[in-house]
Amino acid sequence: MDTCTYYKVFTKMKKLTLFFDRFDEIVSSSKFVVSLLVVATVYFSAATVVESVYGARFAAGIFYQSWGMAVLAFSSVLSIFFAMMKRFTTSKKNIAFQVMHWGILVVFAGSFFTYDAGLDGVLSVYPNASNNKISFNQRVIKLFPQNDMLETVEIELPNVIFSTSVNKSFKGVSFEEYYPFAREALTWVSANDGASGYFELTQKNEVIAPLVFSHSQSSRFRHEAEIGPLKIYFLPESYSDYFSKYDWGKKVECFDITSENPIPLPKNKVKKARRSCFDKRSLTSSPSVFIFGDKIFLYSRKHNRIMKHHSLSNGTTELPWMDLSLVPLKLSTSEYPTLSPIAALPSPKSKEGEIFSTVSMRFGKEIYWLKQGSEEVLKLGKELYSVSLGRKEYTLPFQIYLKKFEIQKDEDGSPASYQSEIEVYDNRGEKSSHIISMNQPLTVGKFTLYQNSYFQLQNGEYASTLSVNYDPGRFYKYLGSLMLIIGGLLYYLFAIRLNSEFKDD
Amino acid sequence: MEKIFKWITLLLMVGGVVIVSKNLKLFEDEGTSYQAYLPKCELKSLASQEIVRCSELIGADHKLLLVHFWATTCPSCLVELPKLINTSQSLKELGVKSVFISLMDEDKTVVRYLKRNKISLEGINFLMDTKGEAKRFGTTKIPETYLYSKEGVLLKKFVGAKEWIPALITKYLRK
Repeated sequence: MDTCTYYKVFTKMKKLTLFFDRFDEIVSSSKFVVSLLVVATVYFSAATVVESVYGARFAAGIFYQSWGMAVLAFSSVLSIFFAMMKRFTTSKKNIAFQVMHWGILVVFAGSFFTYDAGLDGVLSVYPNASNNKISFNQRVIKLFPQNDMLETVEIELPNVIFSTSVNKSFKGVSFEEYYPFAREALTWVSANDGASGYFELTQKNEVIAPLVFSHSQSSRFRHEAEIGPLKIYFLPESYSDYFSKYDWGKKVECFDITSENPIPLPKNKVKKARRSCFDKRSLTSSPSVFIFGDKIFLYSRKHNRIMKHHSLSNGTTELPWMDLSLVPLKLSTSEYPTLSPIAALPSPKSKEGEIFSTVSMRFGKEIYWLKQGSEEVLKLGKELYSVSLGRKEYTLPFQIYLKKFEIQKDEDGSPASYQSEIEVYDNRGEKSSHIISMNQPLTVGKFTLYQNSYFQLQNGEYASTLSVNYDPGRFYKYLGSLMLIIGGLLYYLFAIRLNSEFKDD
Repeated sequence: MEKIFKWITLLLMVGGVVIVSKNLKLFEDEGTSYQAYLPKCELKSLASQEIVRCSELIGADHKLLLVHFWATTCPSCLVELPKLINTSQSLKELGVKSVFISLMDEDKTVVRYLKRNKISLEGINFLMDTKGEAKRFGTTKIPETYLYSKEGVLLKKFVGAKEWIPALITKYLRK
């Protein structure tokens, strides 16, 4: 090695040493601790707000189980470690300081074990039935073959909180977009097989019901709606002349709304989904609104006629009952309405409908949205598979059999406490009986079972939901906490002694 | 020197935590679940009326054990049972032992059903679960069928009635 190279290496080493020295100085400083505390306070405050608005799963994805949390935790570990090393002496007071700080590090190690090696799932068990499967938040696509010779296939979806591409396939079906949180929204698809309309029914300017109608064969929406006693019919524009001149009598007249010509037909000649039937009695018994294209007609009892009331081209139409109004939002003859999932935020208080997970799957030319809890049967290759979107599951080394679920209620009927009377059968069939209640968890092997919730079945009985938790970090978290207490006590004792020695002097 | 010691301590500490965490995991592969075994249980033989322990069900010459839960009160079980008995006879020669455990039934009801369907008690292991032992297996709904290895390890649980072709079982002989 010549002098020049030696000098270069030396300079680099010097720079590296300076960097480490500077790093050490920064992370062990009080300023760094204060900054870290401020960041942590803001971080956890934001996490609490997000959790209260969007729920625990969303908050965990953004804050508690994210890179932000990892950086915050590791920065804390570095700060504590370097501060501890910087102030390392063998004095009694310093021993207390060291014990306390090692205690915090042990708590951090325990938290890491819980995050990395722990399991936290939910087990639902029905009365007089067993279950040994816990389910997690992570979603999986399950493909159950109808042929017992074949094995069930599971495709894991990424454990995310925002929409993401999946790009996984199995025997000709490909899974493309995954929405961990979605809701159904009205979308319009091109088609020329009938008119469609989207309205809002309002009362004193407040929306009481969205109304979606369609004559298209492809649409799931129908052409009539009932809101309380009010009946609303969305009929072809060409029917208006016929209906306004027709003298309604006792005879029930039915119409096939897919036909442009208003020809009365017997009830059994028209499919229910595309049928509207009227007679004088039905028209007089409840208020009825008729929408023919962009015109609104109402039934007049006095004239026994359906008479023109308003034109929708003028916008909102006031109805003569209970301050009701009909607001036209869209009328189309070239598109039909359908409900499709769109990515959403998981707001539990949202009025925009149920939030669910969904994944799109392309099969041939068709795209289906596989919604959590529903299933599609597909012929993949030569075999039939039932495809569903569910939660990732884990089989426990024991079965939980629910003997009885009890709810104690308050005087006002609200549940005060509840408990599950269970039998545990280990994987060798050994039985033990237990009670799990809200304040009485049960430890089975490495797992702890907590009473989490319950739900009512169709037959009125209750099923129990238990949290099942494997926390390998618990011991370390307790140990760290104990060290903190001992360190604190030692610190206090030494401080008193030093204080008294000082006074004696 | 002191500085190097500090950094080495930190590295050892972090590395140690990661290694310990790896060892604390229940399974290396997250998809792995626990194994279930043939449970301890006591059943009654319909033919001899003797108590039979589950641990006695697998003999030295058996390669697999098929345990089927059924009842005369379960319509789908009654459709499935004759087919399964037929399949079990052909599996017997391959070293697969089959037992048919009746739940919530009285002896005379089962005997009457077998007579009516011309099913012989001879050579077929009909057992009666009089103590609710099915729960030890995890069965609360029937029909259900379990396949165990000769070591008593659960290989497959079949939930509901199946079309019992021998290949459904023989594929486990090869494993």
